[in-house]
Amino acid sequence: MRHLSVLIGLLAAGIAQAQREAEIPPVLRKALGAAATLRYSGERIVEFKTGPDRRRIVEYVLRDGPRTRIEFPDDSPYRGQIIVEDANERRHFFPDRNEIRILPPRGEEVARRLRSFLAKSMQRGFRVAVSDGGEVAGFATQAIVINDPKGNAAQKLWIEPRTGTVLKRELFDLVGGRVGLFQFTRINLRPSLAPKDFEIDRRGAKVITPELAAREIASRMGLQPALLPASSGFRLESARSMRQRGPEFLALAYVGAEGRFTLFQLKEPVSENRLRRMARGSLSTYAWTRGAEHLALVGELPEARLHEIARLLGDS
Amino acid sequence: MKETQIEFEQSPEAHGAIRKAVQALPEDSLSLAWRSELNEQLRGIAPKVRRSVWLWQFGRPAVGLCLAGSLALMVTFQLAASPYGEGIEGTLIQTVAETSKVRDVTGAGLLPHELSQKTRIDVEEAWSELDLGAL
Repeated sequence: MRHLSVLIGLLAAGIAQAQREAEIPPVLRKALGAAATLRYSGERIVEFKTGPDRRRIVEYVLRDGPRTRIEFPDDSPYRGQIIVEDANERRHFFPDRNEIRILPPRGEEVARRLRSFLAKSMQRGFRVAVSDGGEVAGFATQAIVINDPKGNAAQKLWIEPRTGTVLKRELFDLVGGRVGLFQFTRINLRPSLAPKDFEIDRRGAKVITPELAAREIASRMGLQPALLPASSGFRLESARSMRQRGPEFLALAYVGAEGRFTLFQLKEPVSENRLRRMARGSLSTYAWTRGAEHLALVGELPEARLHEIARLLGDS
Repeated sequence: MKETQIEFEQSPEAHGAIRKAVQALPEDSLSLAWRSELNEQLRGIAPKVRRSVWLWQFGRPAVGLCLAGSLALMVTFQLAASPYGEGIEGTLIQTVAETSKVRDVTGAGLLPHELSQKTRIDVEEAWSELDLGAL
């Protein structure tokens, strides 16, 4: 009898899941599935808010499935920089420093985050609406609006229905303010691409990994960088020192299949209670002390997982 | 009036005697010193009254304006400082939350912390279509 009720429960959960997936419009499902096979070259604008400021960048993008190349126009403050990325690695070339930064890839994470957002949103009663999106970059689109149960738009996507290319995307805060946008201003969906487009080969360039950067910055700050072993399932994505209205701290951003988190190291104490109280949405936190250093983890992982990561870094 | 008194007043001798007596008096020039003193006293009192009126009319709104301004500055800077709260803990949360949101639109592009890495010199070896012209 008990086995039967478990079976019925699993069946009901499966049906509910199937119903939720059926609510995702075909064009959006196509876009999610096409991310790994898209081919295009184009120009896009990216706009987002950081603190009180709104930033706007123009990028030239080449895309061949998981491979991407990004360059910047001649009048851009980032002119000459080239970013290439495949499923395993991201390389960012800085011409003025003759430096190549090796980083984990980011492209796949966008599709993974959208899938995760949709799954969580559907469980919370969000609705997806489809309408004619008009033309974007010369192509007819279908507009997808993801609304919360009260009808507030959380995000909008404009998708070219034949290929599933997302030509425009807008993200909103809780009161309808736009916090992020990207939009193609022109795009070629039949591009001429060469394998070399996705390589950076520059003899004599200084190659810097995030681990190397972390050691350099930590040494300058008088800290011991808290580096996780590769076996942890997380890769160090960036290391930077920051100072915003307070003491300087080292921020180490880690990414893995489970999600991402940032490890902060500083010489001033961090209150775990305050940290937990201020965390919003899906963010979890954990803080501890190691000798004279104070460490804190903030990320989109369960708190228990952050505890395990802290133990890997020496927290007893 | 008595008769003898009228006669006295009408007699030329009496008039002459009076004239002489008056002329004999020491000449006293006209003085407005008393008025000056009065003005001084009034001036001493009057400013006190005017100052209190000024304070009442202009000082009170000015104080109110200062208080409102201070409040506005406090609120503005507090919001600008960190919507995630005060202290280092708010800064740490803000750092993660903002980057997380931005990732969805930047994709493989630049993240906020990479925006400070601007190209500082002119890029060498930037070929143009002119370099492909026939020699």
